[in-house]
Amino acid sequence: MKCIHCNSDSTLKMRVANNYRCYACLHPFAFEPTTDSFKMADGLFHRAIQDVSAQGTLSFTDKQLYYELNRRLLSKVPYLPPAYGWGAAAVGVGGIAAGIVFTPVLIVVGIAGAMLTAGLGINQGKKMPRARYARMPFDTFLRSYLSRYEIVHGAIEKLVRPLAPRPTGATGTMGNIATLPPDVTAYSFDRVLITQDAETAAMLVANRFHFENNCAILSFDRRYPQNGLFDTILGMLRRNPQLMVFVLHDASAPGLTLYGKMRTSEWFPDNPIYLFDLGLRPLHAMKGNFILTQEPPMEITKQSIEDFTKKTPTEAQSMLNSLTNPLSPEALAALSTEEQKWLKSGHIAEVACLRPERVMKAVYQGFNQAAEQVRNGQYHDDSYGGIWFVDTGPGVYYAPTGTYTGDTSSYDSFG
Amino acid sequence: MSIPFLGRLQKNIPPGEGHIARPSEWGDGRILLVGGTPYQDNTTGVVVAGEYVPVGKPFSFAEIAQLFHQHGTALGNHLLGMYALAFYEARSGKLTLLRDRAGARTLYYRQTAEGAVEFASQRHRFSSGYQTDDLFLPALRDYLACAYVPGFQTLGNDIWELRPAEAVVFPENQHLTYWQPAEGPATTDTPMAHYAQNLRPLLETVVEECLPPSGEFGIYLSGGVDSSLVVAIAAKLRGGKNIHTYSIHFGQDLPNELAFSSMVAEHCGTKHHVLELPPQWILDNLEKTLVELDDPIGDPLTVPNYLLGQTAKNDVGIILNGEGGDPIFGGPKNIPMLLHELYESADTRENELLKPRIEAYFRSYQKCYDDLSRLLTPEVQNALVTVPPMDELLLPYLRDTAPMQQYVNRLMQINTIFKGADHILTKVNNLTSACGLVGYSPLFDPRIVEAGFAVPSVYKLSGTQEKAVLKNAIADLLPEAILTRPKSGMLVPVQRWFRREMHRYAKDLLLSRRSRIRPYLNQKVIEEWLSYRSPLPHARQGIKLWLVLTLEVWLRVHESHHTESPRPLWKPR
Repeated sequence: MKCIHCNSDSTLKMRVANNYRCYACLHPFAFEPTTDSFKMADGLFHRAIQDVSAQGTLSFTDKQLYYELNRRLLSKVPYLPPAYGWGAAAVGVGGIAAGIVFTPVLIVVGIAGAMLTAGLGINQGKKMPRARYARMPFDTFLRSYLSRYEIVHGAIEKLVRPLAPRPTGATGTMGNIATLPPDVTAYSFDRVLITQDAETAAMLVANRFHFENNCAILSFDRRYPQNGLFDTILGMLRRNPQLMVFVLHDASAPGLTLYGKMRTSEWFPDNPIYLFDLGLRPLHAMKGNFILTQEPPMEITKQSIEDFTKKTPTEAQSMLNSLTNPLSPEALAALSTEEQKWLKSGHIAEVACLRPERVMKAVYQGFNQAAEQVRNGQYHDDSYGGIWFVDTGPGVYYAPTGTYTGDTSSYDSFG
Repeated sequence: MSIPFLGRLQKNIPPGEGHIARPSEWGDGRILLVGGTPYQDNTTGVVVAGEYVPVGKPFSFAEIAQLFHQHGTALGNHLLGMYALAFYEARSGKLTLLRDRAGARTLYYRQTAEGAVEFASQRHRFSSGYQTDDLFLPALRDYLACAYVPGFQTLGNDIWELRPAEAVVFPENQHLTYWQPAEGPATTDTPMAHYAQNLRPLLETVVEECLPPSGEFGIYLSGGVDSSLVVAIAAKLRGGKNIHTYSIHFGQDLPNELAFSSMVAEHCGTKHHVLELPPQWILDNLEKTLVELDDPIGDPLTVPNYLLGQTAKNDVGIILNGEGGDPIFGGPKNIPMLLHELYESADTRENELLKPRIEAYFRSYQKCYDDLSRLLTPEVQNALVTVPPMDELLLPYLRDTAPMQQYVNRLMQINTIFKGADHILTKVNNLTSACGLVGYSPLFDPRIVEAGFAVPSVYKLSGTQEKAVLKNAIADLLPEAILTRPKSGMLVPVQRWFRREMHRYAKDLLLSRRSRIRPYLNQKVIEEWLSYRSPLPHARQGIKLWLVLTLEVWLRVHESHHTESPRPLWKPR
């Protein structure tokens, strides 16, 4: 195992002999892969940090690191796409059968062919996007891995620390109210990005996404920004009748409710706002290379509620609806039957599953698309969600639409 | 009176001995002025020379000499217009250099090894050319971060520039700032309409003072509020038929501002000219443009400005522009600074806000501030360790004891002093003069600057409006669509140029072994930009490539042995 500080390679024997320290620089190792249940190694963890932070340039949340690590753990599990599996079996069986009937050489040829097909299949499987489930529980990651890594190797520089939870039932301001001069708060911004959780918002601000793209960023859970600024910024935004609001959320039942809440009294009841949903929606998780947070729970049906609660079929139906459909009929209608089914079976795909650079590129593209829609008069308020971002591979969410919205740089006028 | 000039003051001239000398007397202990027509006042003994483009009542050099005798450097507060002046007081042997309040004209000086002072209104008039292997490194660093060289420094190792509203007195080398606009109240007791009403006649006055008494003149019209309001006021005063307006675009398939500029031209009844600038034309004129700039200016509108001047000179002799509205009244480029202030105050203690604030300001230029640690070679970075950090440039304007107390006003002051004087005015004035035109920026008039600072900050970036009070002041003159149009700025397709038409040119020039930037900049980083690899959606490689390309070409055309560089007015023997 290589030391992340001096790059010297220690064998197990050397590690044991040096009390689990690097033989060259004597820096302790955080993990011992031979005994770890996930075969975790310092180098693996370090590479995950490097990758999620775009080689140390971007800030990321603990959850983003968690998913990055899970991607690496999952990549160790080979995946044989069914078509290749059946193909390999057919070649193998055919070869053996032909060998018995004709000449034994064909048995060898058949087995070799089967192995080759399977190998090709596994290779192909690496490239195929598919949803998988995280191997390591998040709590285990925090408790046993992240904290251990930081104790041994020091605090991770670009890690956005979790923000304080919002006290139950609290509606007011969190933290001490920051005093701001009146000229800083006299303006109202053109657009705001609402993220589902505070950490995603903090991550974007740490990466200066707000600064680079002239947008305010607030979290739906009202935990970010703190020190009274949430209310200050919300107040500033409410003054803009042409505000563009973008929501970014998980593909989950709670996530999909964000869009519908934006025109309620808690958010922007009076602005005739342009509202855009940037995703995620279940389709992204179904088609993309996502890692889902949990195994789907056993499906709750009307029958199971009836059996368990002894309620009438009507009551059971209503209870089922409230349990599985916190979404408004409009929100549900925007989802395909497959997506609704995916959602009802308890799946969740989180935004945190994407690396910071992909989140930022997606939102950036969403901004451009939205601006173009508004400029060209294509914005329709009656459709649920103006924009969904479409995962078409790393870093690419939208094909350019012919004009160069994002391809020019603005300068002060030449007079 | 706007002919570039060059002068020299020898060390230790005994009082009473200096006089206007002929060029052949250079070096014999006299003051010498070349270019322009120096004037000597016999009663006071004051000699005055320099560049002076009057605005409003024109003064003769005789009157200016009298004013100087009367007020000293405070003369700057009495003299409107664009000027860079040198005064020699024969009786005391003192030389005073003085730059106008907005910094519309440049003025450079250097002290030679023998202790003489040389001064010139254009840096490239100094006798020797540039040593491209001996640049002033802090200026290089600041150029990369800002796209212009801010402050008193220049890329030349021993050449200094006067700040706007500054006077320097020799032989003491004493620096005086003769003008500081006063800040108005922060409170909103007086409604915005009141300030707008006061501003309106002033706007009309400053525009009128730039116009010829009769005949045709030109105005650069981008389609933004600032240039549109200058057109609208001029049309009100002189009638649209006397005005030629000029707009640009970069190709029919690219986003442009033509809809807005045409709307204003039609509204005001001007003779409107639209110029299409294909990338090849830009490249063909890059050298000619950069020859005219005394320090590199790395924004892609330099060449368009030059080409506009070349077109306009066929129709007119005087050209106006709308520069100044953004830096003085709170343009959209300040919005990131508001966002920074809001979010930073959530996480940072008040006494720790200053450094991040300065960093954010440099970052808000969206140039290479964050790339400096990779872009500059290790040798340059080592050399920079011992020089004052960039922060010191802005510190006097942002700390608690800064002249302005309101946050937005502080930004406006930095914008006016640095971006206004060192970038915008230098760019438009040098490139307009290069075409033989007299150019005016009425919105940079010191009376407008004073009026701007008198308005409470909350009336600048207010509600959903930028430059709210300015828009309010001229609301009746322009179509509603111009006042409420989405903010944009001139869109230059640099990102596309360096992917396509300029890719090869930039690659050959910037990655060559013989490139002039090679001793200073890490070519690997430039190579990365050319390949457009970045984890960030807002990587803006095009802007950065234009910035370094400008630097490279500028160094080539200004280096001492470059054959096409402008010949100095006069070379000492």
